[in-house]
Amino acid sequence: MNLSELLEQKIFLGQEFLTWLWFLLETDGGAEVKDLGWVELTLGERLVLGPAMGADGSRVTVSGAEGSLAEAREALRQGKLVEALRVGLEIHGEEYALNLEAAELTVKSLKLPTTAAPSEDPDGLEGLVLERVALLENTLKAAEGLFSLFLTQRLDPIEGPELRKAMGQWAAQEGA
Amino acid sequence: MGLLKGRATITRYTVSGEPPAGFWDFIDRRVKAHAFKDIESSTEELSVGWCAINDYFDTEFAFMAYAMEPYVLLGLRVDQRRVPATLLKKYHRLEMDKAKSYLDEGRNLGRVRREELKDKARLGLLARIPPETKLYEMVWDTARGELWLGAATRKVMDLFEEHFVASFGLELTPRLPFLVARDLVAGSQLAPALEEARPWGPLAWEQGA
Repeated sequence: MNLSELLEQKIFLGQEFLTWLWFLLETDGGAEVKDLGWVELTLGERLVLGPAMGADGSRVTVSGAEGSLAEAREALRQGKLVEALRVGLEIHGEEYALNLEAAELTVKSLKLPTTAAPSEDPDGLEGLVLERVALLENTLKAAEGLFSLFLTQRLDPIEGPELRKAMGQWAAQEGA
Repeated sequence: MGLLKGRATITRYTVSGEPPAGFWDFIDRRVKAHAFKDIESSTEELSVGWCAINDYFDTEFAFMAYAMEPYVLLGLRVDQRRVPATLLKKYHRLEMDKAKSYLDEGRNLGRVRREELKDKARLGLLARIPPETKLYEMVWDTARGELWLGAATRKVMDLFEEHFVASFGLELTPRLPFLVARDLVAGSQLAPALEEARPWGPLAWEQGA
């Protein structure tokens, strides 16, 4: 099997990861991430659900408002998985928000904690650039750290089936 | 949306391949050789090249200001002229009317001539339309071989990947979920499980799964 076929076959990992992220933020509220400590998670204003890989069906896009969230949960009960979501992260007391999409896990529309205004002074600019790069690093570390946690459970022969069962029970809850 | 200002969008790549000895000299030579070239006073439709990350007019790279070890921070400047289809249609028609006025009555322009006149109209418009400028930011962590591009559309990614490879002769691989997963579990007992993993499918709780 060549790499592009393999990538096509494993595309479900992104969808399952984002669904797990929603599960995690509703059950534990966050997770301990390598190098960052506790990362608090909140659901943002956008949630897109679509059919699981290999299944037919339409997409459901909802905003984070109470009524719409019920629609998202209904879609989850019907077997759809998360294709994209906006998630808030609190790292070391600072707030980040980003959109993640299942297909490529590309970070989009990332809102970072505020840094000082850009400076004309080259030395000042270097400091600001590096500060901004450090914040971007934090975000990517958090996203990758969470993905790693998911994989550790998902691929474990004992924890994997337990996780699937727990997520099934969570998804079945009415308006949880 | 970029990397250093406002809301950020990040496409991640792994950079692989062996850069030659004297890495920073190599980078400086290649950046300058593939710097952005202005097309303002020409009829070129597209120009793609490196510029300073915070100023697309800066293509001199004084004091290697783009190098903040281990990072290389550059802008990819893309200038493009676009001829609106409606304008092309109008000026093509004007060219054809002019050419027809030299023909005997009842004669029409042939297909080849009509195409030539379309090209002429297009070139005339390209000379009058200024290019639109866009800047896409790049942060390359040369120590870890990881690179971020401040864009996520396929078209920009293609332009970027092509220019990066032409500039540095190094390979770029997008960090797609499965490839990231493979890196994360490499060498652990989970590695074979990843290769064999199949989709959960719908969580199927209603069927009691």
